[in-house]
Amino acid sequence: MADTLRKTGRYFIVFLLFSCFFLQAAFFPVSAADFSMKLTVPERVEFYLSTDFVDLDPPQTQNDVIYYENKNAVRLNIRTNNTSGWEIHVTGTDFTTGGDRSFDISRLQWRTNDTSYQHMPPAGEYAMVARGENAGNHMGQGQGKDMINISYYLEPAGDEYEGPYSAIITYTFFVP
Amino acid sequence: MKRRRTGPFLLICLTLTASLLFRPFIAAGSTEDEYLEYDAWLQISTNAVDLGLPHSTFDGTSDYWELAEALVVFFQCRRENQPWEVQLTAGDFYSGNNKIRINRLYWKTRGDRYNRIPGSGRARLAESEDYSGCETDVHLLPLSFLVELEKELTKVPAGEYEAQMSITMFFP
Repeated sequence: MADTLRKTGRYFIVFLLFSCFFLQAAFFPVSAADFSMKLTVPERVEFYLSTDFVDLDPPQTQNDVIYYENKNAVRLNIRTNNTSGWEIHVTGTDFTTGGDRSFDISRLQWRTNDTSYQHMPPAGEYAMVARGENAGNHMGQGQGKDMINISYYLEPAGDEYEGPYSAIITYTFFVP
Repeated sequence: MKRRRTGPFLLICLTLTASLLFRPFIAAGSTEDEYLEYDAWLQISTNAVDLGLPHSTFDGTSDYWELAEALVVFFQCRRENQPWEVQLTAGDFYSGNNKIRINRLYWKTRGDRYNRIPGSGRARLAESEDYSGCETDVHLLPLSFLVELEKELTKVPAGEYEAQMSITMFFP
Protein backbone atom coordinates (compact mmCIF):
# COMPACT_ATOMS: atom_id res chain seq x y z
CA MET A 1 0.00 0.00 0.00
CA ALA A 2 2.80 2.36 0.96
CA ASP A 3 4.65 1.43 -2.22
CA THR A 4 1.56 2.21 -4.32
CA LEU A 5 1.22 5.63 -2.65
CA ARG A 6 4.89 6.39 -3.23
CA LYS A 7 4.54 5.45 -6.91
CA THR A 8 1.41 7.61 -7.24
CA GLY A 9 3.35 10.50 -5.66
CA ARG A 10 6.13 10.09 -8.19
CA TYR A 11 3.68 10.00 -11.09
CA PHE A 12 2.12 13.15 -9.69
CA ILE A 13 5.50 14.88 -9.60
CA VAL A 14 6.23 13.77 -13.18
CA PHE A 15 2.80 15.06 -14.19
CA LEU A 16 3.56 18.39 -12.50
CA LEU A 17 6.88 18.66 -14.31
CA PHE A 18 5.27 18.02 -17.68
CA SER A 19 2.58 20.53 -16.81
CA CYS A 20 5.31 23.06 -16.09
CA PHE A 21 6.95 22.32 -19.43
CA PHE A 22 3.72 22.68 -21.40
CA LEU A 23 2.77 25.85 -19.55
CA GLN A 24 6.14 27.28 -20.41
CA ALA A 25 5.80 26.36 -24.09
CA ALA A 26 2.23 27.60 -24.29
CA PHE A 27 2.48 30.91 -22.47
CA PHE A 28 6.08 32.02 -22.83
CA PRO A 29 7.22 31.24 -26.36
CA VAL A 30 10.36 32.99 -27.65
CA SER A 31 8.48 35.95 -29.04
CA ALA A 32 10.95 37.61 -31.39
CA ALA A 33 14.54 38.15 -32.33
CA ASP A 34 15.32 41.38 -30.54
CA PHE A 35 18.11 43.86 -30.91
CA SER A 36 18.89 47.39 -29.87
CA MET A 37 20.17 50.13 -32.13
CA LYS A 38 22.30 52.92 -30.75
CA LEU A 39 23.55 56.15 -32.20
CA THR A 40 25.49 58.99 -30.65
CA VAL A 41 24.49 62.60 -31.17
CA PRO A 42 27.58 64.65 -30.43
CA GLU A 43 27.48 68.11 -28.96
CA ARG A 44 27.45 70.34 -31.99
CA VAL A 45 28.70 73.89 -32.06
CA GLU A 46 29.33 75.42 -35.46
CA PHE A 47 29.95 79.10 -35.83
CA TYR A 48 31.27 80.76 -38.93
CA LEU A 49 31.18 84.12 -40.68
CA SER A 50 30.00 84.72 -44.23
CA THR A 51 33.10 86.76 -45.01
CA ASP A 52 36.42 87.67 -43.48
CA PHE A 53 36.61 91.09 -45.09
CA VAL A 54 34.23 94.05 -44.95
CA ASP A 55 34.81 97.23 -46.93
CA LEU A 56 32.96 100.30 -45.66
CA ASP A 57 33.90 102.38 -48.70
CA PRO A 58 32.73 104.50 -50.35
CA PRO A 59 31.73 107.26 -47.94
CA GLN A 60 28.18 108.58 -48.19
CA THR A 61 26.67 111.93 -47.39
CA GLN A 62 23.32 112.81 -45.87
CA ASN A 63 22.40 116.22 -44.44
CA ASP A 64 26.03 117.26 -44.76
CA VAL A 65 27.06 114.32 -42.61
CA ILE A 66 29.69 112.04 -44.07
CA TYR A 67 29.39 108.45 -43.04
CA TYR A 68 30.33 104.94 -44.05
CA GLU A 69 27.78 102.18 -43.94
CA ASN A 70 27.65 98.59 -45.04
CA LYS A 71 24.31 96.96 -44.36
CA ASN A 72 24.23 93.22 -43.70
CA ALA A 73 27.97 93.16 -44.22
CA VAL A 74 28.61 89.98 -42.26
CA ARG A 75 26.38 87.04 -41.58
CA LEU A 76 27.04 85.05 -38.42
CA ASN A 77 26.03 81.45 -38.97
CA ILE A 78 25.23 79.48 -35.86
CA ARG A 79 24.48 75.81 -35.57
CA THR A 80 24.26 74.21 -32.17
CA ASN A 81 22.37 71.58 -30.24
CA ASN A 82 23.56 73.00 -26.97
CA THR A 83 20.73 73.04 -24.46
CA SER A 84 22.26 75.11 -21.75
CA GLY A 85 22.60 78.48 -23.44
CA TRP A 86 25.22 80.34 -25.37
CA GLU A 87 26.38 83.87 -26.12
CA ILE A 88 28.08 85.63 -29.01
CA HIS A 89 30.44 88.42 -28.06
CA VAL A 90 32.19 90.96 -30.25
CA THR A 91 35.43 92.79 -29.72
CA GLY A 92 37.66 94.81 -32.02
CA THR A 93 41.04 96.46 -32.32
CA ASP A 94 41.36 100.18 -33.03
CA PHE A 95 41.35 101.29 -36.65
CA THR A 96 44.89 101.75 -37.87
CA THR A 97 46.68 102.50 -41.11
CA GLY A 98 49.37 100.04 -40.20
CA GLY A 99 51.63 102.87 -39.14
CA ASP A 100 51.14 105.21 -36.21
CA ARG A 101 47.78 106.59 -37.34
CA SER A 102 44.75 105.17 -35.60
CA PHE A 103 41.38 105.94 -34.08
CA ASP A 104 39.17 104.18 -31.58
CA ILE A 105 37.15 101.18 -32.66
CA SER A 106 34.30 102.53 -30.52
CA ARG A 107 33.58 105.05 -33.28
CA LEU A 108 32.31 102.13 -35.32
CA GLN A 109 28.66 101.23 -34.76
CA TRP A 110 27.01 97.91 -35.42
CA ARG A 111 23.54 96.45 -35.35
CA THR A 112 21.84 93.10 -35.92
CA ASN A 113 18.81 92.53 -38.13
CA ASP A 114 16.28 94.07 -35.82
CA THR A 115 18.18 96.32 -33.45
CA SER A 116 19.41 99.89 -33.67
CA TYR A 117 23.05 100.89 -34.05
CA GLN A 118 25.26 100.78 -31.00
CA HIS A 119 28.90 101.62 -30.59
CA MET A 120 31.56 98.96 -30.52
CA PRO A 121 33.16 98.47 -27.12
CA PRO A 122 36.64 99.97 -26.67
CA ALA A 123 39.52 97.78 -27.80
CA GLY A 124 40.00 94.87 -25.42
CA GLU A 125 36.41 94.92 -24.20
CA TYR A 126 33.49 92.77 -25.26
CA ALA A 127 29.87 93.46 -26.14
CA MET A 128 27.20 90.82 -26.36
CA VAL A 129 25.70 90.37 -29.83
CA ALA A 130 23.20 87.59 -29.15
CA ARG A 131 22.41 84.92 -26.65
CA GLY A 132 20.55 81.65 -26.60
CA GLU A 133 18.71 80.31 -23.62
CA ASN A 134 17.49 76.87 -22.67
CA ALA A 135 15.33 74.83 -25.05
CA GLY A 136 13.67 75.90 -28.26
CA ASN A 137 14.67 75.55 -31.84
CA HIS A 138 15.43 78.97 -33.10
CA MET A 139 17.77 81.83 -32.69
CA GLY A 140 17.69 83.49 -29.34
CA GLN A 141 16.28 80.45 -27.62
CA GLY A 142 19.13 78.01 -27.52
CA GLN A 143 19.25 75.14 -29.98
CA GLY A 144 19.00 75.47 -33.71
CA LYS A 145 20.60 76.76 -36.82
CA ASP A 146 20.30 80.39 -37.53
CA MET A 147 22.05 83.43 -38.84
CA ILE A 148 22.49 86.98 -37.70
CA ASN A 149 23.21 89.74 -40.17
CA ILE A 150 25.46 92.47 -38.90
CA SER A 151 25.49 95.99 -40.36
CA TYR A 152 28.20 98.56 -39.70
CA TYR A 153 28.09 102.32 -39.57
CA LEU A 154 30.99 104.70 -39.10
CA GLU A 155 30.72 108.44 -38.78
CA PRO A 156 34.19 110.02 -38.77
CA ALA A 157 34.80 112.59 -36.05
CA GLY A 158 36.83 114.68 -38.50
CA ASP A 159 40.12 114.39 -36.67
CA GLU A 160 41.23 111.27 -38.52
CA TYR A 161 44.28 111.47 -40.72
CA GLU A 162 43.91 110.49 -44.33
CA GLY A 163 44.62 106.90 -45.24
CA PRO A 164 43.23 103.38 -45.53
CA TYR A 165 42.25 102.21 -42.06
CA SER A 166 41.51 98.71 -40.99
CA ALA A 167 40.52 96.98 -37.78
CA ILE A 168 40.16 93.39 -36.74
CA ILE A 169 36.75 92.51 -35.37
CA THR A 170 36.39 89.22 -33.55
CA TYR A 171 33.14 87.38 -32.82
CA THR A 172 33.32 84.70 -30.18
CA PHE A 173 30.74 82.02 -29.55
CA PHE A 174 30.63 81.11 -25.88
CA VAL A 175 29.09 77.92 -24.59
CA PRO A 176 29.12 76.89 -20.95
CA MET B 1 17.02 6.81 1.29
CA LYS B 2 13.78 8.67 0.65
CA ARG B 3 15.60 11.99 0.46
CA ARG B 4 18.08 10.65 -2.08
CA ARG B 5 15.22 9.62 -4.41
CA THR B 6 13.25 12.83 -4.17
CA GLY B 7 16.38 14.97 -4.59
CA PRO B 8 16.64 14.63 -8.39
CA PHE B 9 12.93 15.32 -8.78
CA LEU B 10 13.22 18.44 -6.69
CA LEU B 11 16.23 19.55 -8.73
CA ILE B 12 14.36 19.08 -12.03
CA CYS B 13 11.33 20.79 -10.59
CA LEU B 14 13.40 23.77 -9.43
CA THR B 15 15.21 24.00 -12.77
CA LEU B 16 11.96 24.00 -14.72
CA THR B 17 10.37 26.49 -12.37
CA ALA B 18 13.38 28.77 -12.68
CA SER B 19 13.33 28.50 -16.46
CA LEU B 20 9.60 29.22 -16.40
CA LEU B 21 10.18 32.31 -14.31
CA PHE B 22 13.15 33.63 -16.27
CA ARG B 23 12.18 32.59 -19.80
CA PRO B 24 10.34 35.84 -20.60
CA PHE B 25 13.48 37.79 -19.78
CA ILE B 26 15.64 35.46 -21.87
CA ALA B 27 13.16 35.73 -24.74
CA ALA B 28 13.18 39.52 -24.60
CA GLY B 29 16.89 39.59 -25.44
CA SER B 30 16.89 36.61 -27.73
CA THR B 31 18.37 36.60 -31.20
CA GLU B 32 16.26 33.62 -32.27
CA ASP B 33 12.66 33.08 -33.08
CA GLU B 34 11.05 29.71 -33.73
CA TYR B 35 7.70 28.98 -35.34
CA LEU B 36 7.21 25.30 -34.77
CA GLU B 37 3.69 25.29 -36.16
CA TYR B 38 5.00 26.61 -39.50
CA ASP B 39 8.26 24.66 -39.47
CA ALA B 40 10.12 27.95 -39.63
CA TRP B 41 12.81 29.75 -37.70
CA LEU B 42 14.64 33.03 -37.74
CA GLN B 43 17.90 34.18 -36.21
CA ILE B 44 19.76 37.49 -36.21
CA SER B 45 23.53 37.87 -36.08
CA THR B 46 23.69 40.33 -33.20
CA ASN B 47 21.53 41.87 -30.52
CA ALA B 48 23.23 45.29 -30.61
CA VAL B 49 23.80 47.61 -33.55
CA ASP B 50 25.85 50.72 -32.84
CA LEU B 51 25.69 53.35 -35.57
CA GLY B 52 28.27 55.45 -33.74
CA LEU B 53 28.91 59.06 -34.63
CA PRO B 54 27.35 60.98 -37.55
CA HIS B 55 28.82 61.92 -40.89
CA SER B 56 27.99 65.16 -42.68
CA THR B 57 26.63 65.22 -46.19
CA PHE B 58 28.81 66.78 -48.88
CA ASP B 59 26.84 70.03 -48.85
CA GLY B 60 26.77 70.08 -45.07
CA THR B 61 23.00 70.42 -44.93
CA SER B 62 22.37 67.21 -43.06
CA ASP B 63 23.97 64.62 -40.85
CA TYR B 64 23.63 60.90 -41.12
CA TRP B 65 24.64 57.73 -39.33
CA GLU B 66 25.23 54.66 -41.44
CA LEU B 67 26.38 51.12 -40.81
CA ALA B 68 26.59 48.83 -43.81
CA GLU B 69 25.46 45.24 -43.25
CA ALA B 70 25.12 45.89 -39.56
CA LEU B 71 22.97 42.86 -39.00
CA VAL B 72 22.28 39.62 -40.87
CA VAL B 73 18.95 37.84 -40.62
CA PHE B 74 19.02 34.08 -41.21
CA PHE B 75 15.68 32.44 -41.74
CA GLN B 76 13.96 29.43 -43.22
CA CYS B 77 10.42 28.23 -43.69
CA ARG B 78 10.44 24.57 -44.67
CA ARG B 79 6.71 24.31 -45.27
CA GLU B 80 5.91 24.42 -48.99
CA ASN B 81 3.50 27.08 -50.28
CA GLN B 82 3.35 28.71 -46.87
CA PRO B 83 3.18 32.48 -47.29
CA TRP B 84 5.37 34.40 -44.85
CA GLU B 85 6.88 37.78 -44.28
CA VAL B 86 9.93 38.91 -42.32
CA GLN B 87 9.02 42.08 -40.48
CA LEU B 88 10.97 44.66 -38.58
CA THR B 89 9.25 46.39 -35.69
CA ALA B 90 11.01 49.36 -34.18
CA GLY B 91 10.36 51.99 -31.56
CA ASP B 92 11.62 55.57 -31.54
CA PHE B 93 15.17 56.37 -30.46
CA TYR B 94 15.33 57.70 -26.92
CA SER B 95 17.95 59.34 -24.77
CA GLY B 96 16.24 60.20 -21.53
CA ASN B 97 13.30 62.39 -22.46
CA ASN B 98 14.76 63.30 -25.85
CA LYS B 99 13.54 61.44 -28.89
CA ILE B 100 14.43 60.83 -32.53
CA ARG B 101 11.47 59.52 -34.47
CA ILE B 102 11.89 56.10 -36.01
CA ASN B 103 10.85 57.40 -39.43
CA ARG B 104 14.34 58.93 -39.64
CA LEU B 105 15.67 55.37 -40.00
CA TYR B 106 16.25 53.76 -43.39
CA TRP B 107 17.11 50.15 -44.13
CA LYS B 108 18.30 48.26 -47.16
CA THR B 109 19.50 44.87 -48.19
CA ARG B 110 22.59 44.25 -50.28
CA GLY B 111 22.33 45.90 -53.71
CA ASP B 112 19.04 47.66 -52.97
CA ARG B 113 18.13 51.25 -52.28
CA TYR B 114 17.35 52.54 -48.83
CA ASN B 115 13.74 52.28 -47.70
CA ARG B 116 12.35 54.55 -45.04
CA ILE B 117 10.79 53.00 -41.96
CA PRO B 118 7.24 54.33 -41.72
CA GLY B 119 6.10 56.22 -38.65
CA SER B 120 4.42 53.08 -37.36
CA GLY B 121 7.87 51.56 -36.99
CA ARG B 122 6.89 48.45 -38.94
CA ALA B 123 8.56 47.43 -42.19
CA ARG B 124 8.42 44.33 -44.36
CA LEU B 125 11.96 43.16 -44.99
CA ALA B 126 11.24 40.06 -47.08
CA GLU B 127 8.32 37.93 -48.21
CA SER B 128 7.79 34.40 -49.46
CA GLU B 129 6.96 35.54 -53.01
CA ASP B 130 10.60 36.52 -53.48
CA TYR B 131 11.84 33.13 -52.27
CA SER B 132 9.35 30.64 -53.71
CA GLY B 133 10.66 27.15 -54.30
CA CYS B 134 13.55 27.66 -51.90
CA GLU B 135 12.12 25.89 -48.88
CA THR B 136 15.26 23.86 -48.35
CA ASP B 137 17.49 26.92 -48.30
CA VAL B 138 18.51 28.97 -45.30
CA HIS B 139 18.08 32.56 -46.42
CA LEU B 140 20.40 35.40 -45.52
CA LEU B 141 19.28 39.00 -45.35
CA PRO B 142 22.16 41.40 -44.69
CA LEU B 143 20.70 44.68 -43.45
CA SER B 144 22.29 48.11 -43.67
CA PHE B 145 20.91 50.98 -41.64
CA LEU B 146 20.99 54.73 -42.07
CA VAL B 147 19.60 57.48 -39.89
CA GLU B 148 19.36 60.91 -41.45
CA LEU B 149 18.60 64.15 -39.68
CA GLU B 150 18.15 66.69 -42.41
CA LYS B 151 18.81 70.14 -40.96
CA GLU B 152 17.69 68.69 -37.67
CA LEU B 153 20.77 67.74 -35.75
CA THR B 154 20.84 71.07 -34.02
CA LYS B 155 17.35 70.38 -32.69
CA VAL B 156 18.42 67.10 -31.16
CA PRO B 157 20.30 67.46 -27.89
CA ALA B 158 23.57 65.58 -27.56
CA GLY B 159 23.44 62.10 -26.09
CA GLU B 160 23.39 58.39 -26.78
CA TYR B 161 20.07 57.39 -28.33
CA GLU B 162 18.75 53.85 -28.31
CA ALA B 163 15.82 52.14 -30.00
CA GLN B 164 14.50 48.66 -29.35
CA MET B 165 13.75 46.57 -32.42
CA SER B 166 12.41 43.13 -33.21
CA ILE B 167 12.56 41.00 -36.31
CA THR B 168 9.86 38.40 -36.65
CA MET B 169 8.40 36.06 -39.23
CA PHE B 170 4.78 36.75 -39.84
CA PHE B 171 2.46 34.19 -41.42
CA PRO B 172 -0.52 35.91 -43.02
